[in-house]
Amino acid sequence: MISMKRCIGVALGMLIVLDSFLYLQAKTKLDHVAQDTTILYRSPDKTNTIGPPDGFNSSSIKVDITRKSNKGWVVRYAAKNCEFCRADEPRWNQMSADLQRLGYSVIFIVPQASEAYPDNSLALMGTREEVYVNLEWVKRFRLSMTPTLLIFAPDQKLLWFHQGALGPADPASAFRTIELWNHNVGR
Amino acid sequence: MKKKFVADLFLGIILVALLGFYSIRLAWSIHSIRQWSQAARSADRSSDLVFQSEAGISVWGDPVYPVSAKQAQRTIVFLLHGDKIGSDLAFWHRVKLLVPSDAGLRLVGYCDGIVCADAVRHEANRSDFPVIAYGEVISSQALINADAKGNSILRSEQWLHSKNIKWHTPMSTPSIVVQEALK
Repeated sequence: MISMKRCIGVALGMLIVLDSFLYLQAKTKLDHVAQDTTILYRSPDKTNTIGPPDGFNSSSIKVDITRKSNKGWVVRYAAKNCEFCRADEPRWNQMSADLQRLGYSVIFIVPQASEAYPDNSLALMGTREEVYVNLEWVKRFRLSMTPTLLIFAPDQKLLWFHQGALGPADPASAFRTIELWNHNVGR
Repeated sequence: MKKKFVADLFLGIILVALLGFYSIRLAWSIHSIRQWSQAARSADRSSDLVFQSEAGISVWGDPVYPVSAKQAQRTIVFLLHGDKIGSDLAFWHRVKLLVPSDAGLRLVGYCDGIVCADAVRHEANRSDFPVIAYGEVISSQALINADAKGNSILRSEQWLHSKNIKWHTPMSTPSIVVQEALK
């Protein structure tokens, strides 16, 4: 009887160690994927600059991508029916408002017309949505995961990106990078 | 005493089963993440992005709509390259000429950038097929991936999967493309 109890105790102990190890492995792999440039860039040359994507909305009207100030811009690749996009929406909404306060314009890109957000969607607050995007822009990146967030500096270089739902530490990481960039170029 | 032992044993077994199930789920997640990142990294060679629809905005600014199965049984989509736009357009104009008018085959081109779009706009004779400059991201990426292997995409509303047809390889000619598309 006691040996059976001991067996279960040992099995429990081993499983706890195994699960902790597997959890750390999964977390490390997810973090790696979220920041993996070889997945994001179709073109290996990532020193190139690129302007904001120009495109059309679901009503085939050209989206105005003129920047309000000499600040950077943000591209959020997301879809109406994507559950990970819905899951990180509260965090994204806060981040989007903060980015807009810093002068960054936010452009939503959806994978296809059927994934466009309704006009009055909270997710789109103060942002613009593109359904049909210039291929010149599309061919530079492999947008294969929703949501993906790309933040571009005023010098048109990619400053920060994240593939997958935003985690608790991501907004702080993004704003730290923006701050660092501002500090380095003296703005 | 015995009751307590049985209850502990039962609880222990349930915990072992739960943790075992959690281990399997975690291991499966790690496997899926690894597979996904490998597939995403090699998207130019083997991608699971599927061309969805030839909806977009043409180089002239008009909307291009996907056609229904009644209007065309098949559609062939291809990427036009700014750095060899003259030969690309000549190739596809020739394809268009070779397609019998009752074949139900529609041609839709996509421009890979501003050089291509400008060239198409300045063509003496406006192309006899739509050329998209702004497309849906999924379909544009699927086409860019296919094009990296020299392919165009042949699709039909009635098919479950689209087909690839080689076109910008030394062996490809407009007549071979037409034969393949009408097969």
